[in-house]
Amino acid sequence: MVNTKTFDPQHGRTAAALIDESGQLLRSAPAGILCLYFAAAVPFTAGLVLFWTIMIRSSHSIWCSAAAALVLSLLFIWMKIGQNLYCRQLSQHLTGRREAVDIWRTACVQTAIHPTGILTLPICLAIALPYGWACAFYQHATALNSRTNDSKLLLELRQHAMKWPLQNHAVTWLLSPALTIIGVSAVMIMPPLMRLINPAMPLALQVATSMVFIVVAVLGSPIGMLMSANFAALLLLLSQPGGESPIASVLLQNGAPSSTFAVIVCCLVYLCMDPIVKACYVLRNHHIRSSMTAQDLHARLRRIRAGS
Amino acid sequence: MTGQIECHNHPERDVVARCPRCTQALCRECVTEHNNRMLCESCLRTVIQPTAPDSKRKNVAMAAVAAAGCLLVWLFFLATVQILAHVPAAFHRFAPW
Repeated sequence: MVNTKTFDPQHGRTAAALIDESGQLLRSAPAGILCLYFAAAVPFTAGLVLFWTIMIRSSHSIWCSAAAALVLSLLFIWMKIGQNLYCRQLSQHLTGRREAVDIWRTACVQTAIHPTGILTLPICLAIALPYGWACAFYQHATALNSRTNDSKLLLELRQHAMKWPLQNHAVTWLLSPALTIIGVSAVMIMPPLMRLINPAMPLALQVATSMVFIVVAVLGSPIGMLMSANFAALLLLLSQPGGESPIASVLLQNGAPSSTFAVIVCCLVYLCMDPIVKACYVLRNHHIRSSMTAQDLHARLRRIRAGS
Repeated sequence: MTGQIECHNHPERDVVARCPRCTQALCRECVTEHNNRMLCESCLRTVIQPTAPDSKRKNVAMAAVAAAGCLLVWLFFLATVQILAHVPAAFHRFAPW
């Protein structure tokens, strides 16, 4: 069963303890809950890969692009609603309390909040400092449940995002898929950008620049970049460089990995890391509420009563 | 204190407050604080639960905000397509050196 030891209400648990607890929560949860997550996230990631592959290969009419963008945006909304249901299921598993889900309200709230994230998160990331809080705001929005009152929703999300900043920033640094995506993009984009700026750049400088970007990306998202390297190696093995297989034609361009290759790596990393991130924020939500309502004690009593 | 010594729901108990909406006398168990006012259970339910037109208006407002969210995501992906169309081919090929 999930470890529900008491915690320090002033600082929360350490990030490592929270990640460990989220791992235990996922392991103890029924497999159906994780299947629900993948049923929500896989269509969007698959759609994104397909969208990217088609869009970079040929020019399309504005109508075709608009239709593709519409399908992708609907898949994005589907993913966000599904992720919220996944978090609710995890929360119910954690507290042992069944709650009715108002699908209409859930869909409206998630559709209203998350689209703003695709604009605000990159801006916050560009100015670096508020990214951790902004990220926590949107993660807590996904981990919402029916106990949250509509009129106080944004205020509560803000309060939860501001709580225990050290724990939040450490979890974001270790597990945020967004930082890995930025890292992979930087490693991919910077060499051609440098060549574009200075076509006569010496080879040694090109190698040094690439190494610097790889090191910065690894420092920015250590677990994510390690995972990316593993997936990249796996995909390179699958694509058999030099071969003429259909996989190679998508993943490679003139013998070198294409941008579709990077998108697939990012999507795989996202699918591996995001369920754990969501579990972390479900636990954070639970701990924050527990510090105000003793929810953890109720859950523990319920478990003892169920066991006796 | 309140001009009535018996609670409206529990005649055997002492009155501690009077509901400002329905003016019923109430004991400690029957009274609840809401927005710095001591209300009885039925008045509290009326205050908290939105009326039917309010609820409908709220649903319409939520649907409108959600629709605006959908539009925002669609515009974002449409802009991504337009940007992708103008990115040089060199950026789609990872050749570190």
